[in-house]
Amino acid sequence: MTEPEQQKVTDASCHAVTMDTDDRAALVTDEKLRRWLQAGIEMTTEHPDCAALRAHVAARQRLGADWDMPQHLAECPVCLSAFEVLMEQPAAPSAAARARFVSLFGDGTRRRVLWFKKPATGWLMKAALFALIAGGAAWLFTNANPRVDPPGKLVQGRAMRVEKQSVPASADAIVYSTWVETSAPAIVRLRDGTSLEIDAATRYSIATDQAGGTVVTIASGRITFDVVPQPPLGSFKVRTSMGGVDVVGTRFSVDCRPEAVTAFENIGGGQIPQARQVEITSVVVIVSSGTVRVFNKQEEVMLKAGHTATLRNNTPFIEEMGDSHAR
Amino acid sequence: MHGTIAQELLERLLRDDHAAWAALVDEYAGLLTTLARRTFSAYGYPAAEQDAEDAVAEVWRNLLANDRRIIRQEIDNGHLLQTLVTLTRNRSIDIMRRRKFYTEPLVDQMPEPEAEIDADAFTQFPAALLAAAFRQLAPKEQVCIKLFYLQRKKYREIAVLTAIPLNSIGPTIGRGLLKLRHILAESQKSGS
Repeated sequence: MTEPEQQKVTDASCHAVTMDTDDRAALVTDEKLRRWLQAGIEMTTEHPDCAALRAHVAARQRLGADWDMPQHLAECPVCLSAFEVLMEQPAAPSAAARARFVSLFGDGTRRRVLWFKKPATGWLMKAALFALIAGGAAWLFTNANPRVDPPGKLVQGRAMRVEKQSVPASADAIVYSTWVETSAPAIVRLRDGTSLEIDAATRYSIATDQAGGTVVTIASGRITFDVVPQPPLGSFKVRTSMGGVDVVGTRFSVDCRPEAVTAFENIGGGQIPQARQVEITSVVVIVSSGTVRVFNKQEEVMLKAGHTATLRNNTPFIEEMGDSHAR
Repeated sequence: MHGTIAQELLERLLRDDHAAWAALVDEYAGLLTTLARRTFSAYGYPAAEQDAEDAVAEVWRNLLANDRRIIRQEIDNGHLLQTLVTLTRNRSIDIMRRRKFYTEPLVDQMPEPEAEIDADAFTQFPAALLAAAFRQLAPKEQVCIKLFYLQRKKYREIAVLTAIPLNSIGPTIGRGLLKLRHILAESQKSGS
C-alpha cells in the first residue's frame, strides 16, 4: 500500500488506523460473513472448569498439530481467554500479593442475614420489625412535606415561583423544595450565612436531604456559591442533570447552559465526514476558593481553587482545566 | 481442580474456612493476574504490576461481597472460572476508566491477505441451513473458521492456539468455506 493510497480513518476514540479502499471492502465482506456465521452456527454451552482447561493446554503442548481444539473453546471468548492465559504458564503471584489476597477473606465483607428460626420468637420479632417499618414510614410521610421555615432570604432581586406550592411564605422568603426562576440577577442568603449569587433566568430549588444538609438543584442558569464552613455533620450539595458538587466551605459557581459544538458525521463510502453545529447541554463548575468534589455517574474529580470542571451531555468523563479558564 | 472439588471448596468458604480461601487464591491468582495484565495490554494501557494486582484484589472482594452471593451462585451453576475471568476483565477496564484512559482495544483492523471470500455467495443461503452444514466440516476447519470469524483472531494467534502451521491457516479456512458453500448448495437443491 503506497502512501497516497492511505487514508486516515479515525475511530470514535481518536485512535488512527490506516487502510486503503480494498482493505475496507474486504472488511465489509468479512463482517457480512461473520454476522451470517454467528446467526447460523450452533454454540455448545458446556464450559470447562480450570482442571479441564489445564488438561487441554497439556494436550495441546504434547500433541502439537495433532491436537484438535474443542469446539467450545473456539466459540466461547471467556473460555478461550482463560485457555490463552494458561498457555502462557502464568507465574504464581508474589508472596506479598498472595498475602494481600488471602487477607481479604474475613475482613468484614461478610454480613450475615438476620433470620429467626424459632417460630414463637420469630413471629414476635417479625411483628416488632413490622411496627418499626410502619413507624418509620409514618415519620417519613409526616416529614415529607415542605418545611415551613424558609431556608433563606432573597436579599436582592426578584424570584418567581414556577411551581404550585402550598406553604405560606413572605414575598422575600425562599421556600423549600420549590422550583424558582429569577427574572433578574438575585442574591439569596441562607440561614447559615451561605450566599448564592444567581444570574437572571436561572431555575433552581433549595431543599434539605435526610441528614439535614442543604441541596441546591439547578435546572438551568448559573449560581455562584459562597459557602460557609459546614458543621461536622452538615453538608452542602449542588445537583444538576449531569452530575453534582459536594462542598464543605468554599466559593464556586455552577453554570448549566447549552453549548455549541461541531459534530462530525461519518457518511461512509470513504467520503470526508460532514461537519455541523449542534447544541448540547453542559455544566461548568468554577472554583474560586477551597476544594469541591465534582462527580457524575462515571467518575469524580476533586476541584481546587482556580480550576474548572465541565460535564457534558452524553460524555462520560469530566473535563478538568487549570487556572487559565477560571473566572 | 475438578468441578466437584471446586464446588466443595466454595461450600467450605461459606463455612468461613480460611484454608479453602487460601487454596482458591493459589489456584486462580496467577491466572487472573496474567489475565488482568493481558487486558491492560490489549487496550494499550501502560499498567504497573500494582494495577493487575489491584484488579485481582477487587475480583476477590466482589466474590465475597453481598454475603458471598457470587459464591452461592457458583455452587449452583459451576462456572466459577468463567465468572472470575469476566470479573477480572471488567475490574481491569474499571481501573483504566478511573485513570481516564479512554481507548479501544488495539485490534489490527487489516484483514488477513488470504481471506478473499465473496460473502454474498454464502449469505444467499438461509442461516437455518448453516448449523447442519457446518457440522459436516472437519473439526480443524470448524475451529479455524470460528476463531477467525467469531473470535476475530489473527492467523498468527490461531497458529499459536491450535498448533496448525501459520501458512496452513488461510488454506484451511478457504477450504472449509468452499466445502461449506458446496454442502449448502447441495442441501438447498435437495430441499427444493
